[in-house]
Amino acid sequence: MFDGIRLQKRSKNEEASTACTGTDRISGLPEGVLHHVLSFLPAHDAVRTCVLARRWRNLWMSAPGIRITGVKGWRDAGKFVAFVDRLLSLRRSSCAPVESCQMKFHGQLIRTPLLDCIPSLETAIVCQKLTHIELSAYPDVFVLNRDLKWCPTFTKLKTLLLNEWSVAADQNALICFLKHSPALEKLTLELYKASQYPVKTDPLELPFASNHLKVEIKCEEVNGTVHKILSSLSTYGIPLNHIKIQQANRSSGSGYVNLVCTGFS
Amino acid sequence: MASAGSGDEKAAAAAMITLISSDNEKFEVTEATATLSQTIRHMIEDGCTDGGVPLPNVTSKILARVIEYCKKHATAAAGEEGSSSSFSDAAFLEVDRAFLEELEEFDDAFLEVDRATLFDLILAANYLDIKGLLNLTCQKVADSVKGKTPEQIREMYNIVNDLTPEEEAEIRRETQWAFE
Repeated sequence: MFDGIRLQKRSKNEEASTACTGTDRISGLPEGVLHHVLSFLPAHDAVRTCVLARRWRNLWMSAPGIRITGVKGWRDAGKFVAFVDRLLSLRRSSCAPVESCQMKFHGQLIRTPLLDCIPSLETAIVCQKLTHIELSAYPDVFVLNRDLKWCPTFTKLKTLLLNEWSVAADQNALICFLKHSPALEKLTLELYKASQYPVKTDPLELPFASNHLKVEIKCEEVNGTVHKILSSLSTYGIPLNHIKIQQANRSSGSGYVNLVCTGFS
Repeated sequence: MASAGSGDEKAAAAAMITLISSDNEKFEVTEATATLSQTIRHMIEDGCTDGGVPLPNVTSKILARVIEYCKKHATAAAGEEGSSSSFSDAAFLEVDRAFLEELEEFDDAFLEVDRATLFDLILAANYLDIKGLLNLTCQKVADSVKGKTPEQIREMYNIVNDLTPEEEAEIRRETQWAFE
């Protein structure tokens, strides 16, 4: 039995070399490079490389980047949620640090509290090394204050992208991230669907944002919500000339208009 | 040169570095272009680039392409550094935007290479530690794999499956949650 398997393997290898259609350049890449490639793949594609060959079996588990791209392509939301759970729990056991994390929760029926992922991130992933986070979801994703309590401090986080959900519920999530990211250099807010959100600011808040932080807000129109966000960002200590607004220009069909804040009324 | 570098910034900006490929071809590039490579940057900092930098892992064909990439992106980096520390200059933003678009087009065209060249570029970017080029080339490989079945990926990249059927079945069972 054992010999049979060996023989079979050898003949397979010979076949490959004599076929001469080309060598396996990809498996010959250094491990760090393969990890890098896997970091660019949507998480489910990255995990599925485990069956390619022996070398690939556990590679995905220590890639420095995770991209979770949403429910699309999954049979139902439950399968997707189960996938995210398994993924994060296996990453936890692998102990390999994650530097970049992108999660897009767009799609119907996903009501998993987004920030439920954060405690897992904290333990699963040595968040001390996270330098880039993108979290986007439908604006009606439920964010509870109690979830935010679990938000860890991202000591190395440099770039952060959030969308509408972060400014819902009095910008709780946005404020929480800003407070927990002392080294943040670039914050991007995508607010294409945020027009209906009542946003109030807390006048008692003291400035806490670092002075090298630059903010980019992408929106369809500079409406009341954007104004209120500007006002609160300013309260948190971000000077207006560090905030760039990129407005999608619908009248000309495509392109953007860049606005620079000088003041607001 | 190495000891005078800190005093005279103008001389440093104009300084040329000679890169020597594995097949002994010499390429003269500006320091700004060369230092997109962290590996070379460290060599310059250590003052060991006199007489040229031998790159035994990179052929002239690949080095020429790498330099082409670095030249283009060094100009971009210079533009970024030259800008003010805030977003306050609206005119600059427009220029910035046009330049970024041009850079994107350059990158797209740059990636139109055969697979062997792509892997050579990846290895060179990794060895020379050029972050932008490594990202660009690895992204290209990732894009080619995205959405493919393991069988398709094996065929595309000539990956020999050295797992026994029993092992493969076991791995698939264990990772069923990722295949649904």
